[in-house]
Amino acid sequence: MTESKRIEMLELPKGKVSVVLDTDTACEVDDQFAVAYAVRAAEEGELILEGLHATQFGDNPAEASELSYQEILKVLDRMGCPQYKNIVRRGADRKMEGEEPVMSDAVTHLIELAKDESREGLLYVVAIGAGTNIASALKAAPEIMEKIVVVWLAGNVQHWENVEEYNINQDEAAARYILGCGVPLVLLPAYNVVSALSISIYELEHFIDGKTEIGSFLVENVRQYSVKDTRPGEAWTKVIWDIAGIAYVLHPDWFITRIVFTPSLSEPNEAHWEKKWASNPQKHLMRIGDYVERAPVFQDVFDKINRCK
Amino acid sequence: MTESKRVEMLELPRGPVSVIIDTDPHCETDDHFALAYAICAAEKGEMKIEGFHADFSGGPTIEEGMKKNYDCVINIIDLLNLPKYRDITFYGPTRKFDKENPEITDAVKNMIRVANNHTSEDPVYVLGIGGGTTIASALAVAPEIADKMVLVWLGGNSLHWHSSMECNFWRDPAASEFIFDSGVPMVMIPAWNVTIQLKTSTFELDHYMKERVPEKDAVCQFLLDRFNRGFDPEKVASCSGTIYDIGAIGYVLHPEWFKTRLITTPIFAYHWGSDPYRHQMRICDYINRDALYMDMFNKLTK
Repeated sequence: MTESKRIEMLELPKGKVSVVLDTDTACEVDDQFAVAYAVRAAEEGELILEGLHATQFGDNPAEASELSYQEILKVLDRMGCPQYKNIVRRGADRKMEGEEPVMSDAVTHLIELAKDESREGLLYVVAIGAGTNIASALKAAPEIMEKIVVVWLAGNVQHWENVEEYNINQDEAAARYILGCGVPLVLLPAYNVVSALSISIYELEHFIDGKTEIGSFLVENVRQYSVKDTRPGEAWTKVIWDIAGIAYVLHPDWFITRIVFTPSLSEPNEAHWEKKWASNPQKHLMRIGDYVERAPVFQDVFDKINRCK
Repeated sequence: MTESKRVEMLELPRGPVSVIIDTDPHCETDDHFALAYAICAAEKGEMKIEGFHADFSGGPTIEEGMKKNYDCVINIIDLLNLPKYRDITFYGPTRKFDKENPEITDAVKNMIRVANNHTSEDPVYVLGIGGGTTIASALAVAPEIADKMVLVWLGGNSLHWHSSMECNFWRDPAASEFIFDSGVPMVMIPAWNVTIQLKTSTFELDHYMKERVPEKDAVCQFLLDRFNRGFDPEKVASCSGTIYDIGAIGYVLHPEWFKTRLITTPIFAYHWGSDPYRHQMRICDYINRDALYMDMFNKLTK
């Protein structure tokens, strides 16, 4: 791919775009918000939702991936939107680790969708978990990179001390591949960018608890999570990380982003066990998020959830 | 000052430290929280306050705006019924900074007097949560105080930001430029994308500040009412806000909640100018919001 073609594909998304959401839904409590947000945006005609793909995480990836698949279905049921079940796919049952792609229904589906000639625009792959499915699809069918833009919530800003970030760490080989292969990539860093989307249980309760079944379900999840996550001496808030990817394709104007050289991940060794960003000013370009405006994102998520019948 | 001396002074503060707070509360809510938080921390022996200096925002003239800010400080002191702090509250500038002819205000005099009672081993921390006029003026009049103080200045934006444009640093740009060139040991806590993440909401404040000891009831109610101006239960933007200024107070109380590093001081301009041969400063990249807020809630209510 030429650099100019890549930059063109990295222009801010305009209008009603096509989206695949790749999610480790059973991990933490924020993916469910993202699934609900994406489905509501589709229902309201703001995007075309073409796939809801489950992915792996943790020490038992096969089980975690299946749980994520089931969790997507559960969210759809709570929303009263079973018609979206036909775009839900099971994803990776293990981490990529080596060179071979991890094939799954999700990977096959992503390749099919990317190759679908009937779509006019690009396919935005909003990835809010490990990169396993996306890297596998790109390995199995490298030609799809001409058709997709990956919007990935991963890593930290480039002046951060390390890249020990959850989604990167869940499949480091996949992360290295995504950063290296040249696919048009919008990276939304966890710290200190998407971390702005933190919220207290009290604010969540005010806006969406007890109004719709899905709203109450989402709040209850956070409430349960707070029990084990709250540390003494902290006014606990939860970062609802994963809504950022959907917000970006709906409203890139709520973000500040810029084009940078795609960094690489350093190779940890005994002396430097943490992964760091390694800068490489000869590499291809990508778009990075520097800022997300919190209030309009939460407003849009809450309004959409509250409009759920 | 030698670079090693400066870097030594930029080591993380080990409290309780002495502070001066330079503030412009009239226009915004966050200074009020910061002032109350600081006084409550001082009353618990976690810091010693040696001055409140009124900066000038809020107009219509510089002098009138400064006096409004002064009155805001007095208001917080009175709400807490701690009149001893009135005696260390001082008027700041009636005009902008002029390095050839700096204005020697009561605040400038107090800053010089306090700093001269400190040493590089035990510096006074000047917590700037407004513009730089008083600080620059004191440094221009008495350059020797630079090695007896550390400036913790809340303002500007991270260096990868598209500009330094932010109200504290741009209230009096000549003062900002002077401070950045002066070599005074400085910790910068940027607005974007650092203190902007010190978000809270009406609902969180209500939860943590509803129960409070009687002697702090008035100040808590004032802070809640102030935060809830323009409250609209339907709008996230109207129910939530950023209490930027508690960042500077929190840094001297609990620097471990702040992710900071040493960098070469940039040249102050609309677009940060880099000069890798300049002196060092400390910059903050991230604040543990949840820990800072809980500390503030505890101090404001208990």
